[in-house]
Amino acid sequence: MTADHWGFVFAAYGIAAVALGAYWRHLCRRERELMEPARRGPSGSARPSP
Amino acid sequence: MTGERTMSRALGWLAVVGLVGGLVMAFGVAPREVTQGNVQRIMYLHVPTVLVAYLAFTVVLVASIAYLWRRSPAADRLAHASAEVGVLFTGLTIAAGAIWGKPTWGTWWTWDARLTSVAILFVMYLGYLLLRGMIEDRERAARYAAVLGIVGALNIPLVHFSVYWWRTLHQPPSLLKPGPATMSQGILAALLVNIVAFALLYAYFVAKRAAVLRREEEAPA
Repeated sequence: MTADHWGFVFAAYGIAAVALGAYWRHLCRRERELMEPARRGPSGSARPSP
Repeated sequence: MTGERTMSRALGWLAVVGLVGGLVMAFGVAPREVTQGNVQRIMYLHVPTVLVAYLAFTVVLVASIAYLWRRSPAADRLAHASAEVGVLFTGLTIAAGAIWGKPTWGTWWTWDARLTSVAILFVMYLGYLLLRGMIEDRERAARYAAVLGIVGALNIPLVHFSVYWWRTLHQPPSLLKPGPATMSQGILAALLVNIVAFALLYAYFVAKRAAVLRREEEAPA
């Protein structure tokens, strides 16, 4: 019976999950940073002045 | 803009569903491989990531040609986004391959034709991204990167056919080869589901990255 080496399997999938998750979070953070000034408007204030 | 965000979100959820389905197929449905045992389940990660990397760099090639022909900023953004995601998937291919190689070949790495040509592919597109970052003039960066994106794609057939052209430790392709697939139906089905899942994830990442690049261009300096 061949050894299963589950540790290697979980290491491969774990590294992939971490790398893909980190890239996704990086994209979301950059998107938020770029959306922030547009939401605040030209005055730089998030709340419209009365 | 809202339509673009809705489409991106829908693609993201499709990718999540696909990846969950892929994990179920890889660990719950596909049978234990007779020769290698359960370590062969790394294939459901390794093969889809390299096929998606081929797709990503082919998109870079087409978008680069389109940019040089039409000077369209959208084509340039697509090439840039696809190269970045392609580098990520190539890195994952190399990592998963090394982890699979240790218990099956007895080594993490060997300078055989397939592994070396994939490493060259990875370094070339890493260079592509560095080149883009080094040149401040956006138009010049796009032009130089487009040329590199076309030249770099010449390496894709070299990677794929390296196992036929040279004597290598790496096995021949499981898919994208002449004749029918030689694996069992369960293994083939799990592999196909994972390929679709990773292709959806690629499309989601590229759409999101291209949108970020567009916003960066529109943002005041």
